[in-house]
Amino acid sequence: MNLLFLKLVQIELMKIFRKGRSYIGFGAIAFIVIVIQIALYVDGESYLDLGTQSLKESFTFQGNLLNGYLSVYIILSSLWVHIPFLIALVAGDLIAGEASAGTLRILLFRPISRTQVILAKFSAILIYVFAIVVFMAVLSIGTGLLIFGEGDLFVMKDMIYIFESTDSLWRILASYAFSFLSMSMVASLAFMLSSFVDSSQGPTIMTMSIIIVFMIISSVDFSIFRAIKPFMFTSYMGAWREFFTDPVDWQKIYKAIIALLMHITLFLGITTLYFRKKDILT
Amino acid sequence: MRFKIISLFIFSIFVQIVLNVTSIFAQDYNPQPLLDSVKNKFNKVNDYTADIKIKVNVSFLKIPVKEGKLYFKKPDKVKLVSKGFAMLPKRGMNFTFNELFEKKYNAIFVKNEICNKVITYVIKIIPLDDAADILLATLWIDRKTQTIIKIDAISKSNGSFVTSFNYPHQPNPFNLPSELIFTFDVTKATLPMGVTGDFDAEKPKSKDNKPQKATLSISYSNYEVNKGITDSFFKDDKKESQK
Repeated sequence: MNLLFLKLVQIELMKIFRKGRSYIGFGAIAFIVIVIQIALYVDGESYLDLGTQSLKESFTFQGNLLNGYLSVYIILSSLWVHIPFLIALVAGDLIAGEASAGTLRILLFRPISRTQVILAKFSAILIYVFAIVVFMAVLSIGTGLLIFGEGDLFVMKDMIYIFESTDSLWRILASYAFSFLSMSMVASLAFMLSSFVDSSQGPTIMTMSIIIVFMIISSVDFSIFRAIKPFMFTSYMGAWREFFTDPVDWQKIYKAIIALLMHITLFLGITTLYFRKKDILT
Repeated sequence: MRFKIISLFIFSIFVQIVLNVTSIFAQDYNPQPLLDSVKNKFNKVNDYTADIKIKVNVSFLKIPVKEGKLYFKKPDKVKLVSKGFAMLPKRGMNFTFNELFEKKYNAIFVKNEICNKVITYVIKIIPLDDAADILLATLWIDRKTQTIIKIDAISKSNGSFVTSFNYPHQPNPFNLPSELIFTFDVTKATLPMGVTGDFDAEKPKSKDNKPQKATLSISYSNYEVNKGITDSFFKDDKKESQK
């Protein structure tokens, strides 16, 4: 039973990695990470001066703030909004793609339950998300440290935080771990939408639209939106930033983790229930 | 016990009378010899190195306590070698505020005052050069050791700033301080948005118009004075400062 399930996951992974669209995410991340690192290498000092200009009127700085950890933080800040689109591109195709290709019925001829099919596909997309996040983490941290070296991390939020280099790496790794959870939630949404339709473009576009609308509502501070913000998953996706405060607001992070896990469970539950009763015609 | 209280009371009255009497003769006191003595004392220090600990306290900035080795050479060369990033105040690291005394100034003895439990002369310095950045400075100088206890200055560029000096119980031959506490204006300092590229980032805490102060305390230990430091050592070398 377990072996059969593992075999199913393996097959689903093979399906994912055989498709060209699965590598768009890796390619885009590699391109953006390298472009940002080159830009920081060329123009990083003046970029940083912009943030520290007024402080330099009163203080003399000693040491280098333009380091590998800062570059990783900038990459994380720039990319966390865009990575969901790359995830949706693959997750949205998982069921709908097979439905449109006509292979879903063939898959269900096997002596396996529909729930198992859904869980195997979902496990495969989680592994894909994990691979994307690890790829981004290794590439950004690796190239950042290689080009700029270690140093204290400069973070500008509601105030300026400077973390010692020994206190920075765990915060970055924790942020990436949290990003995995956020991206898994996006994958589960795209996966759910993928089960509703028979065209692979639809779920991808719908996921992107939902995220864009939710993000805009989350970032606009109108009183009318305040009441609904706690129910929007995008309100919790940015909680990775809490790792870059001192002291860390663990309560906010735990709340975000629970909210994201609940969304994942809800979307997966709806997908399973819907798919079990779905009339598979193709 | 009662005798102790009465003695303390009489002593405090005595100190008050002494301070008041000396204040009456304030206009007659010429502070120049005292200022020369302060300058001459520090002029004996050509260079020094010291282990320092820097603690920054600013409302919009959080930075851990930093340790490092500070190098100083007359008249104003300063270099900090520390692991990682550190911040130093722009002025005041040379203890004597040479910029105050390097051009013409008027010095006025104001009064005697107890400052940090020390009886001090209070002297006002008014630079006469129109181009001078410091507009007015008040110095509290220990009557006994003739060392600066506090400087309160108003500058064109950075507003007002106060530097307090603490000295070790066992005074060193050059009367170098064991701690400096800088308090200065940072009302002008603002946090720009978008440095991290995160459009959804938290906005900086809005600052009201009240003047904001930064306090930076530096503890000194293990002084090594007049060992000779070459000028080339102070050349800007980022790699060196990060060792």
